[in-house]
Amino acid sequence: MFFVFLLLELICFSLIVRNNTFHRGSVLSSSNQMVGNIYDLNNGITEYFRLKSVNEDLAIENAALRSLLNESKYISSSRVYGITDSVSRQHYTYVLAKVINNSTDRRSNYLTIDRGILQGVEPEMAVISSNGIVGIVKDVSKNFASVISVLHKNSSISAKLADTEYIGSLVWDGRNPKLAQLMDIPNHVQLVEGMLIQTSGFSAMFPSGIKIGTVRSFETEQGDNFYSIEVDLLTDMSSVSLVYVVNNLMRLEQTELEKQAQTDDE
Amino acid sequence: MKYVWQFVLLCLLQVLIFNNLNLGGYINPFPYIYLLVILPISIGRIPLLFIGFFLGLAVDVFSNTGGIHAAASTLMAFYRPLYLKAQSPREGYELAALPHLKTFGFAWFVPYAVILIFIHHATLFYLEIFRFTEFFHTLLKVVLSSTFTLFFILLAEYLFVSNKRR
Repeated sequence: MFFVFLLLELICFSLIVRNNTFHRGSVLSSSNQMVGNIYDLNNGITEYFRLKSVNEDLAIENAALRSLLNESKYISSSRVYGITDSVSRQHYTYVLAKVINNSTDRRSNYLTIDRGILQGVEPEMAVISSNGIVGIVKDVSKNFASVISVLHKNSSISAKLADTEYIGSLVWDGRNPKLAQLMDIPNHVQLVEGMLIQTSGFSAMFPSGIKIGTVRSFETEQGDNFYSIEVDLLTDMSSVSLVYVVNNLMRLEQTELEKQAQTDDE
Repeated sequence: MKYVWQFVLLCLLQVLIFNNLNLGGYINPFPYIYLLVILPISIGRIPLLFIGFFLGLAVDVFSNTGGIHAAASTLMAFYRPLYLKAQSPREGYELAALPHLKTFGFAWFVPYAVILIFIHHATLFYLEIFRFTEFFHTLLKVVLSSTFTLFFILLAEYLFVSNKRR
């Protein structure tokens, strides 16, 4: 009887350890097809309650996008170049997905979205909403994917202070789902409450310049050379419902190169 | 057979409703362990362990938590017979006895449920963060969540068990 108990607990712990790494355990996670279908059904009912705020967000985003259209720009230069754009290449593509399950109350939170391999979603892709960052894809099945939320104990996202080049990493202390913490900003930087924080673009997942949040408060421990900064997240993680999965078309190239540099070191 | 339906029902209630319940960031009750509280006293220890394991695993699969629910509910299923044995009346339990509030009374049922819930929640929350730096913060979560789980279990006892024979 005691050995059965030990055996079962051993299985549990191996599951816990496996769950802490990318790519594994997709059979026993919410990207599993059956689990996904049940959440999809549940979401079909509950998404009506969120329609109003979703519409507002979309309208705001539409307005922002509309202002980027060529028609809404006044050409101040009188010279018109008659060439097609061969300078810029597509670097990122976006897949629209719906959040069908979400949590914010755990120490490690996950979301499930209704897009998977068949729609081009792969592990380690970034997930953003129209307001800011949301998380990183963990496991994928045919039509679903589970996403590690920003609100996760191992989440660490490369972030920078907008308009400066100072880079820090964004972590979450597990207390308030609206607040995250920015580390590693040296304390000689002039900080102001309300400063914008964006992704740095240093990781191969997030494009640079995606909004993260604003500085809420900051302090320095005595003898410490770095600030600890509280950040108001711009995405309301508890009500996020439409997201974009970011496909970095040059991700493989970048990660291979960085891996090469690391193995050369050893 | 009745317990198979309760298994499915409790799992669905947990993942679709209670997992979304979050009061003040500290309280997330896990009433799915109600099943482990009310299984018959005469049930074998090994079947009980397996039910605990699979119940936890089912909730894990839905919550992306690896095996922490399974670990917690297996530990709870392991401890239950030890507690029942230590607390058994002099003449032993009736063979078909079900550990309900109506059968054994408030003064017996509440400590029994509290200890089981506390074991489960403490294991769960400490495995979830897997470090002791946030010890008291986590302890507060354990105590508050346990209180709410107890509340839902007592509610279920009063609402659904009242008309039964035992």
